[in-house]
Amino acid sequence: MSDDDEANPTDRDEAELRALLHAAAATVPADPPDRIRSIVPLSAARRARRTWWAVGAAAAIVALVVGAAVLVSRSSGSAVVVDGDPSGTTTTIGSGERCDADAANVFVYFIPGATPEQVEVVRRALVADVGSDAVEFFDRTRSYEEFRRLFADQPDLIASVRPEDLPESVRATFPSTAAASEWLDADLPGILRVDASPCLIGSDPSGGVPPGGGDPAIETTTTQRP
Amino acid sequence: MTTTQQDGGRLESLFRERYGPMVRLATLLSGSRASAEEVVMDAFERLAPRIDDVAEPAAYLRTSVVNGVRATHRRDLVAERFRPSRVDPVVLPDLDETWERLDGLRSDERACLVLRYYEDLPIAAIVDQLDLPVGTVKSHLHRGVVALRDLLGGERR
Repeated sequence: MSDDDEANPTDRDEAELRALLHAAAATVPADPPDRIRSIVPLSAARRARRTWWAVGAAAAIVALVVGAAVLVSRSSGSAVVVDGDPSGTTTTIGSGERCDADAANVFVYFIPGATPEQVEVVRRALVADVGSDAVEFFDRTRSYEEFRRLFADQPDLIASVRPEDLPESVRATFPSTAAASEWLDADLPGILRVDASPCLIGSDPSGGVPPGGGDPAIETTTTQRP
Repeated sequence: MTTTQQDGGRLESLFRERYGPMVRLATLLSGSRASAEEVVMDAFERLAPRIDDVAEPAAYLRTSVVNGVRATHRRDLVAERFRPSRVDPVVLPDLDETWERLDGLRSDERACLVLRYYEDLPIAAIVDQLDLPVGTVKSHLHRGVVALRDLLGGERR
């Protein structure tokens, strides 16, 4: 075949080239993503990135909240109690029940897209472990109230966070740190992060940290889901 | 129905109709379905706010996809080395070979070949689309055809 022949493909060559490229293209799965329906024109790719950004933001806020709660409780010497304290000297991170010396709190935070069913599975599992009285669900509104309380002295930070930025969580008080530690390995759908810490709801009427200070082995221990 | 709703309806209708073809075109151009989907979504996003002002939305989309693939080509070349699979469901050996031959072409050669024989664009339209001299387009087409020629009409070889 001469160069001219190569430079000028025959009609048949061109037809076969078309068929070949169309056959190759047909192997590419290209069904439109269903999710576009509700949010045209925002792309699925953009939304995927935002979802992961939201996961990252939620994780960062969780870290902020947990860290602040622990710092507040230890620096002020005040107990960390449920639903806060009108005086503002205490804050909320868990069950309202005062806990025993060896008790520990478990905080299970959920990814932004976690379904109610996924949350319920976790809640029921915790209830099965410690009973319904020791388990609480924090929706975004309640988490936001807690966030505002924790960072009451940082209005700029509060202004930058919306309730929908905060993750939902289920929190439980365990009678022993050993039992609480097992939840660090919980691998259930929808979980963003699990924290466990010595119970910060002091049994000391003076409002101090728990007798014995809790078990240092799980002091604010965290497992972050990939 | 409001204008916004109408725009959304037009866009969604176009999305239903053209998403698949555009992803396939972008995959042929780039060799990467992941990159193709991203480019196509970007193209729809660019079109969305101006869909009422664009005379031929489908043509606009194609131009946007071709330009998007070309703009990301260099970045994708690096990323592709670390991707385990370019296109998963390649089902026939000769199609596998087709993808490899396409991968062996330079990006402009590949673009000329795909636009000519997949999109059926005339050479003048390819010149406009890729902003290349007509001689360059013909030269690229020549190389592209030569690269795939032995995959064609096996019974004649």
